[in-house]
Amino acid sequence: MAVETISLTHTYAVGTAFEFTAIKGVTFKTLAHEFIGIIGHTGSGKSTLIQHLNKLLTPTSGSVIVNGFDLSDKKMPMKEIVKRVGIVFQYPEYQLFEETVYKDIAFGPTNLGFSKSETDFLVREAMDFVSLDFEKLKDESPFDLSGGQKRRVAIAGVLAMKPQILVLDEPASGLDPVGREGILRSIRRMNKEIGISIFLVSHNMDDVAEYCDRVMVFSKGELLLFESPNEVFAHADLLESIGLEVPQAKKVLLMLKERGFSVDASFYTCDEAVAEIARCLRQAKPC
Amino acid sequence: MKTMIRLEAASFSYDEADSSKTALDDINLEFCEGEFIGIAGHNGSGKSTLAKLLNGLLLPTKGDVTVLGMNTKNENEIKEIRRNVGMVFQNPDNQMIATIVEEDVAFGPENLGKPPYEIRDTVDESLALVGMAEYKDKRPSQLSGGQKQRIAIAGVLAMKPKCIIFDESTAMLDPQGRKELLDTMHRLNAEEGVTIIHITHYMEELITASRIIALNEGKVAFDKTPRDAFSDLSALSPLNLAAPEVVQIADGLKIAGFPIEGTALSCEELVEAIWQLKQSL
Amino acid sequence: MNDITVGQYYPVDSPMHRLDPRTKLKGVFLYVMGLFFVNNLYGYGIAFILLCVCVACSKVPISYVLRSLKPILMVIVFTSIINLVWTQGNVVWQMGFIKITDSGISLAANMAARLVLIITGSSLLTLTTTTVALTDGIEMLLRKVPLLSKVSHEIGMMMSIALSFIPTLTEELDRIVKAQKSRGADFESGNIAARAKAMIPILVPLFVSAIQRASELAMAMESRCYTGGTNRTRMKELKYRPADHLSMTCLVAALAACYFTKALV
Repeated sequence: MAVETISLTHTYAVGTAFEFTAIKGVTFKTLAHEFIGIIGHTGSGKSTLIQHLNKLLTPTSGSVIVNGFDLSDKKMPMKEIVKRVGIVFQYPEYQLFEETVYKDIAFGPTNLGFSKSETDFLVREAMDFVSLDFEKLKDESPFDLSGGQKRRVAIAGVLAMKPQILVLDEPASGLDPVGREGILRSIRRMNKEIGISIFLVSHNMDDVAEYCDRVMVFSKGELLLFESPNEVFAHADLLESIGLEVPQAKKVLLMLKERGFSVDASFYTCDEAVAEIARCLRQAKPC
Repeated sequence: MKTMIRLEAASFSYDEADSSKTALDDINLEFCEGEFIGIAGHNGSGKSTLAKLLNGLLLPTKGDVTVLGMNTKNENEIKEIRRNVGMVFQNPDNQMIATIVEEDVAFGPENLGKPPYEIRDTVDESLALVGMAEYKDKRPSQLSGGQKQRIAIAGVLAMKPKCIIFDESTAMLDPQGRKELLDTMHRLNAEEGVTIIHITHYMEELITASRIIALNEGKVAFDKTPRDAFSDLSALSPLNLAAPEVVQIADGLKIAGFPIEGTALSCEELVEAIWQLKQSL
Repeated sequence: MNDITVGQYYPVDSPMHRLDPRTKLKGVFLYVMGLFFVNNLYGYGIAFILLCVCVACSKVPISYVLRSLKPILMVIVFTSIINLVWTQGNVVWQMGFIKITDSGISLAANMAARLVLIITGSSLLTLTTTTVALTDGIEMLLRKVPLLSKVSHEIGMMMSIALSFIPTLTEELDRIVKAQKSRGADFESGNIAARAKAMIPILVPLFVSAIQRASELAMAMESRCYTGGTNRTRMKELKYRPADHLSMTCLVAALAACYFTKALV
C-alpha cells in the first residue's frame, strides 16, 4: 500500500509556552510493498511522523494519504485506518495485558470484528511469522515469557490484524544480536512473502543498510534525504553532522579509497565490503 | 594490582530446588583496581545476576563474593560495600529518586550521613565530573536519556566509590547518548582511576576494555583481552554474540585467502592492515 | 502538560519563594482556618489585602495566580446559586417559586469569598514552593505531630517518589493508550460497563509497569546505601530565618485583626 504526505507539519501545544513544532513540511511518496527505513537522532521527529500514519496524531497542516485515502477525511473511522496501518511502538511488550498469549494476540483481530475462526487463523499465522510455537505457547501467560519472546508476542498482536502497512519503532532495541537478527528477519519475511509495506524506525545504521529499500533521514523535524541506502550513505559528512554514523563497512571502504585504494566505495554491507576489498587485493596480486 | 572484587565458587539460583533456575554456576573471578572490564553475554546468560552479586543486591546461594576484603554476606559491612561499588542501571527513568537533579545526586551522601556542607561540595564536584554542572536545577524529565544516565553516574560518584558497575546502562540509549556515556566511563577510568565494570551485549563497546569476560548459561565462557577474544570468531557465535563489523570484515578477508595481520579493532587499524597486506603482495 | 501546570511551581526568586516551606505551610493552614471565623466585609477586606501583599511579594504574575481558580470556578458558581435560592430568611426578590433572601445573599457571598481566598492562598503555596521543599517541609512538621513522628520520614519519602514518578507514568499511560488504540481498542463508545471493560487493556499494563519500575527503583535506592531515615542527613537543611519569624508574626496579627472586626458589626 502506498503512503503519501504533503507538506505535513505538526506542532504540539499550540498557543502555549510549550509550543513546539516537531515536524515541518514533510513531503514524500512511498510505493506499495516497499521496505522503508527512517533514521534520525532522538527528537528529530521520527515518532511524531509515524503517529500520523494511523491518525493517532492529526496534522497541524498538510495531509497524509494512505492508499489514495486522505486520513483527515472525517468519514474514515479509526477502525478502518488501524486495519490498514499497524504500528508497533518501542518496547511493545509493555502493551501486553491478557492472561494468555493467544488472547493477547487475538485482541486486535477481535476489535476489528474478525470471526472466531478467522481470528484463530490469524493468530496462528502471526505467531508463525515471528517464530513462536503456537501449541507450546498459546496458553502461557505473556508475563512469564522471556524479554525476547514478549517482544515477539507484541509484534504478533499487531501483525494478526493483517495490516498492509506495518510501522515498527526500534523493534529490536534492547535485544541481543541474535534476538535482534531474528526479529529483523521476520520483518523481512513479512515484506517479501506477504508484501506488507514496512516502515522501520531505527538508530542502527547497519540494520538500515542491510534491510531497507529506501531510507528517510530526519533532522530537527525536516526530511533531509529520501533515497536508497547506497545514495544516503554517500552523504557521509551530512550524516555525521547531524549526529548519525555511516555503517562501519562503508566507513572502511571510504577510508581505503582516501588512501588511494581503487575500491568502489558505493557498497555498505559487510559481505559486499569483503568481496570488494578482496577483488581489489586480487587485482593487486601479481599472478 | 590490588583486588577490588573477588568471586569464589559463587553460584546463584532463583530457586534452589529447581536446577533450571540456576542463573550463575560456580563463578571464580577477580577484578582488580583500575581495570576496565567488559562483561558480555546474550539475554539470559546471567550477566545481570552477576552484576547484582557484586554489590550485595543479591547474595550468592553458594560460594562467596568479597569486595575489598569484605564479604557481601556480612550485613554490618554492606553499606561500606555499596559505597565502594556503585551501580548504574539500565532504565534511566527508574533510578531517579528526587525531582531535582542536584537533590538526586545528593541522595547517596545523605544516606551516608555526611554533613550538609560536605554533601554540597561532593554534589557539585560529581556533577562537574560528568559534565552536567549546568543542569543541577533541572528536573530529570527535561533531560535526554544519555544525560539522565550521566546524572545517575554523578549520584554514584557522590559516594566516592572505587568501582562503578554499569548494568546494561547503554541498552536504552540512542547512538549519541551511548557515545556520551562511554566517553564518561573511559574518562573516569583513565583520569579518576575508577574501576569500571561494563555489562553489555554490544561488543563494539568493549574493544577498548582491558579484558572481556563472556558469560553463557551462567558460566564464564572466556576471559580474554579484546584482541584475543576477537581473533577467533568461531568462539563467539555459540555464545550468541556478534563481533564488531570491523572484525567481521577482517575475518571475511582471511577466509577469502587474504591473511590480515593481527586483529584489527578499529576502522583505522583495519585500513592500515589492508594497506600493509597490499604492499606485501 | 497543559492542565497540570496550573498551580505548579513558578520559578522566580522572590521573598515569598525564599521563605521556609514550613512557614508557608503553617501560614496557609492558619489562613484557611482563620477564614472560617470571618463573617463580615471588613474581615474579608483585611484577608484580601493580606493575600494581595503575599502575591505582590511572590513576583508571580496575577494572571498566573488567578488561573488556579479556573478549575473550581464552576464549583463556586454552583454553590453560590444553591446558597442563594435555598436559604430561608427575609425575601428580598421573588420570581415564581424562586425566592432570594437576605441571609441567602450573605451566605452565598461568604462562601464565595472564602473559597476564592482559600484556593488562591493555597495555590500561592505551590506556586512559590518546589515539590522538594514542600515534601521536606511536611516531613519536618510531621515530626512534631505525636502519632506521626515515627513515620514522618517514610511519608516524606513516599510523597517525593510519587511526585517524581508522575511525569514518567503520564508518559507511559499515553504510550499504552496509543498502542491499544492502534490495536483497534475503542474507549469512546458503548455504555458505562463497556467503557469500564475497555480500560482493562490500559490499566493492566500500567500496573505491571508501575510495579516493575517500583522494584527497579527500590534496587537503585538500596545500591545507593539507603537504609531508611535513621542516620540520614540532608544537603539542604531547613532553617528558620528572621524573615520567617517576621512574616509569621505579621500573619497572626492580620488574622487577629480579621477576627476582631466582628466587634465592628
